[in-house]
Amino acid sequence: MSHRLGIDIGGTFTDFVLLSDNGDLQVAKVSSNPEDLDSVIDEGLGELAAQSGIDIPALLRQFDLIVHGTTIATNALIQGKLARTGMLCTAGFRDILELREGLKERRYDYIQPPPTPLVPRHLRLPIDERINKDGLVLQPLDEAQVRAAAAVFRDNGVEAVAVCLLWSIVNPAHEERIRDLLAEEMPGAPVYLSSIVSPQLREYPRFSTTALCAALGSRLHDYIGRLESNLEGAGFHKAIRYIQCNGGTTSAAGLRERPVLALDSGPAAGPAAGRFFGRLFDIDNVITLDMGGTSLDVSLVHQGHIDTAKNVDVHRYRVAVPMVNVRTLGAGGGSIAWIDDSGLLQVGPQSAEAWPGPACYGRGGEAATVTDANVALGYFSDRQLLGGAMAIDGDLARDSIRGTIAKPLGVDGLEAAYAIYTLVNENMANAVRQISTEQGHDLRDFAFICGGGCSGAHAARIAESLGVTRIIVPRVASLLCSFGAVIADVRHDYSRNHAARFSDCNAGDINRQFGEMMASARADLAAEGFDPEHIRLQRTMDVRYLGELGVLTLTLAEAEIFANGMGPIETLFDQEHERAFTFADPDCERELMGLGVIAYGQRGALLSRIAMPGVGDQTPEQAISHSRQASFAPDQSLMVAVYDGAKVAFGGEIEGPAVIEEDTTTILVPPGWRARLDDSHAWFMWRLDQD
Amino acid sequence: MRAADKTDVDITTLATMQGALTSITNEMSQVVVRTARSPVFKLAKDFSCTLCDWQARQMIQGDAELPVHVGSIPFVCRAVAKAYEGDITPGDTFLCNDPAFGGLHLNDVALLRPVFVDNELLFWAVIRAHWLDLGGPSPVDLRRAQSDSYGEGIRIPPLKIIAAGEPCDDVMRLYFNNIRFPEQQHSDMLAMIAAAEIAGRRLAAMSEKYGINVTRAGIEALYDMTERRVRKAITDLPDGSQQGESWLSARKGDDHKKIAAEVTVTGDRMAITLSSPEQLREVRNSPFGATHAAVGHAVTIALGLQPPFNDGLYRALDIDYGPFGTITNAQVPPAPTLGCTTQPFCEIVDSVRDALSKIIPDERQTAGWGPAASIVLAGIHPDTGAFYGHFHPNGGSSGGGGAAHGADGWSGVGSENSGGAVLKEPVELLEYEMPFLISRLEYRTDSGGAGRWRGGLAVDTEWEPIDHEQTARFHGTIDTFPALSVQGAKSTMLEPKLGQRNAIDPDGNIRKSGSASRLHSTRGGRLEMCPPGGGGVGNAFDRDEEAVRRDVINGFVSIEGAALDYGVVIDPDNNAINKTKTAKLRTR
Repeated sequence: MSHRLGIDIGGTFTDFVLLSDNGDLQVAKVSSNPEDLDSVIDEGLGELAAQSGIDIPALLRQFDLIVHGTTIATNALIQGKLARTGMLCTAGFRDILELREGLKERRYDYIQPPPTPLVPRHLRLPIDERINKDGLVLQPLDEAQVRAAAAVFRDNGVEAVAVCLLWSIVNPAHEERIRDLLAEEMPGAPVYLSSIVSPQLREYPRFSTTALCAALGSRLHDYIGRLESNLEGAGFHKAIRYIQCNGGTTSAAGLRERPVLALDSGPAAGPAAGRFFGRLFDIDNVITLDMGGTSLDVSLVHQGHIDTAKNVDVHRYRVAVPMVNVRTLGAGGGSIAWIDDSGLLQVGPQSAEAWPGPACYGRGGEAATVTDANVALGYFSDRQLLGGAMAIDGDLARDSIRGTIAKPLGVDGLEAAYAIYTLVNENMANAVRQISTEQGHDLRDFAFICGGGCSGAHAARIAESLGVTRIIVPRVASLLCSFGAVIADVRHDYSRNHAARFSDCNAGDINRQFGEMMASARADLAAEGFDPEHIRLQRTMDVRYLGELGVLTLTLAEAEIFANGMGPIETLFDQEHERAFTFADPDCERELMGLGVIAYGQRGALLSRIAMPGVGDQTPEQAISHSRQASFAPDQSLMVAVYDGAKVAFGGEIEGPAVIEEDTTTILVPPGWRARLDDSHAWFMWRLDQD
Repeated sequence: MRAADKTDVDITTLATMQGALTSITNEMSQVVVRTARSPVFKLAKDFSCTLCDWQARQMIQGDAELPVHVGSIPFVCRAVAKAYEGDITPGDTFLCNDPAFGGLHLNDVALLRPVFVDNELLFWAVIRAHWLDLGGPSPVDLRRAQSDSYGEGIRIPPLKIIAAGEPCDDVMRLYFNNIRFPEQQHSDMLAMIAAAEIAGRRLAAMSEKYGINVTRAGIEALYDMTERRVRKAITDLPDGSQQGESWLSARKGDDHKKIAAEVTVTGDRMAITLSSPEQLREVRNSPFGATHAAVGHAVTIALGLQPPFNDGLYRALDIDYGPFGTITNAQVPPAPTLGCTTQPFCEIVDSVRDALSKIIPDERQTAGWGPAASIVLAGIHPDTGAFYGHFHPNGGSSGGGGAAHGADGWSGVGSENSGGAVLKEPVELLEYEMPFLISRLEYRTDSGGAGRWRGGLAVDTEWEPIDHEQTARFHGTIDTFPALSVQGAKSTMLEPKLGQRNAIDPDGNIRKSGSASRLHSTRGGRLEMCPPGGGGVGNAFDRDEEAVRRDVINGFVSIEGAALDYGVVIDPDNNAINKTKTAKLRTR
């Protein structure tokens, strides 16, 4: 039997998930230490080995695949630990990267600086050359200037170069020639071409993505090298894959080609896990709520497709490759409640972080946090959390809320706690709206999948606010992303710039381009060991009404491909436009803006069960550990039963109001909800009035 | 109507209601930006979404909106409610752009949709957007030569265009029959209606959730909270009066016009009184709506207030626009007002800023962004033979932003009327859609106003029409007055800080626009737009020498500029600071 290991390195914890082909699952969670990757991995592997009573080499022999999610690229970007990067630009356009699109994000803030450009101006060097929109060379490339620029780069210790020319997407000849010249002038330095990294019309997103590749590349390569030699040293010689920002996996070579794909590696695996659990319950539409200590990540799966978006800003830098549409909000267990200068209660985005953490941790934190509100309301135990691993002092939680929120606002402590809890729920509901209803989805069709340690206490209330009636809380919630990593499909994106009005579209030409991309996709996946039956290809078209700014990415079914010209695509586009924006304009000319193929090498779909050690054998009544006061309104407290989730047998049902305590998460079942433990080690909750 | 009882509203409701209002306006903007079709809408994002209540008071003025757009929305909303009193039903939609009712220039058209809850008119969803064309004698807009408002295009008083869900076809026909790009604008209107429709659904859901009475009380309480915030900030200032001024540059054969402001702080109230010469027989007149927005913006910045804003923002302010019939309180008709969102908008902001700079503490000082510099390009498309027009707000949103105490100004963000909300249009998308090349788009060295904190740099843009001739239209000079600098900031090397507009002939001959209102490019020639840079804050000789050196290395400041403006001498061979010479210059 073969095993896969998922390793997800986050800021606080590193999660290990070991999954076998028959669905047996083992997990381990150890503290992260960015300075000492070796010992973190040793520790995690050691814990997994110990669970099976074997040693690490024996453990490593069992699996044939490691999938890794890492925050290395994201952290490098946030901390500015980037390679010294040079850029070559069409003369006259060296400032595109720094100007972004002329946007100043905050209208009334005259102090906030713009983001530091990825390449400083003195290393963005203009090159005389010009190509027009039809690909014609208006001005030939000045090769001497390129060589002179390379000398400047060498003098300035430039490690990597981004080549960013106008209209290179139509005619890449100049960019390619520059690459060859730089290979002579700066041997060994990585060179990234905008026409390869992000072949799409619009210069700023393309240039920014290319600059990101150059800036992130070397640090990422170092990291991958260290990790792979480390695992090799430990005795692992099989495949290592990485979670990319599009939610699928790729090889080290894939990341080397486009380092920007490593952004958000880790969180991007969340929806794969969400999709998996949804499928176990025959639910195709799910929203993943991953709420940890400092933030909430929300993502969406529609009809089994992980929702991705192009042209997303990551820490104010534009990324123009498909990324999992993850909406991040500063709303976690450690998010701090405060009062703004008009006297309005606010929660987050500041966080008490892991240290000192919420007031109730007793480590000197004085700010009232979301976790403190959960304790004060009786949702969380006021003695301990994390199955006893974290001692809690309920009085500290109540005191901090009373002192920092209730008193200044002139309300009692319980009302303040309820307000903190409700406000953070509403903030999270608004984040869900952004990726769902604002994109034309009807939330009644969706279920929530909970990830992270905190979302189980909030999901039902967020659901009520949005009209969602089903929630799944897997026992692996707190390791959702590393679980997602081991079941994520391999994903490669292929795209072509192809701008033409529908009336000018040539079906033969479009089919030929799709054909070429699909052939590459099949070859790439075959090289990675996928049989044809596990390869799934999806054709997409970016379409807009003539002149619209946004494009809709249409996923094409086989029948819509040109047997009958563009007619079926017109209809599909009108329908999608109406769904997304409330109207269609069938009389308006439609315009094709790009072609794409998404290629999946399927992994997770083959699994139909998961099994974990430790199955309870008690009825819910037997599993009640105690009762405590919990408040479901500012002026109303009820005695609610608290269940020890680990003791409950599969099939056990619990009606709200109730609290279910699992080792790594606490689930609130409010009045009007019912929860059942499924044999996939997940709690399924539903609203009773929706029975 | 029951008086709102503030004690009814708990802290949870208040906080979540504010979040809902923000979320709704954000969603409206998303819909418009993704579905509108004229470039000024979709690329430049020259529109703003806002929400009003049952008394047409503004419930939210978001962070993403254009300062010039949102300040005067309540006047428009009130005018519509009054004009159609007793005749407003669910599914109605209204338009209004008339400066006499709170409109700005005619191109900024407000679309308003009432939102009913339990058969009661509870809210208005409002989108104000720059429409490309409203008819009138010359293509597109920015006609400086107009001498009265009738020549500017269609002036739309409060007007119902959709009655209970049914488009008023006769009204629509009359309108679309009189403008140049009916198809594009019809699409833009659909986008605005879609945004209003979505806002209506969500507002209805919000009031259903809280209940109508609590919703009303909650909204009132949010106003009160904002009002208290403003009054507190004013109370912190010393009582007294200060004067400020700025200058609206002259057109040919005329004098510069002084815009004067007096700001008086008395306890928790602030009075702002403007005075200016008689309104002009050209387009740079400001109707009260635009003036109101300009004053509100200047005060907001000076008080250091951050959004969200609402009706409470203006309650502690007494704004006197000046006598009716003057530049800052133009009478429409007959005054043309096309320029009001650019010139004199920024001049009004600066006159108030100048007065406030003598009142507020150092750490809240900000500099001006300079005179606004929009431009319209027009020509006959060589392939289709059809007329085309292309509007660049602020020359493609590219002037330099003013510095603030503690921060350099942002470069290339446009003028202060939009505050960095208006986006630069992608070069490739423009070239894909329009018959011209953009041959240059980059920072102008030394354009940022000198100061301890430097003004933002301006971005120069050059357009090269393909196989045809092109005309650029604009109004107001930009080469006379530099952006307002404060706290002793002064530029010695003044010329690059000023803006200019040029035609470059094929032989390299440069023709400056001066105070003319149009430039014509000959075949094979180019048009060039160089907006002004932002103003500086603080004595430039106090600027950190290392910051000046970095600016030189990056070409933001020339070696000559470093010496003249900053008293820092940089060795051209190695970009090192010559400490001795620098010390000598700086002690002068």
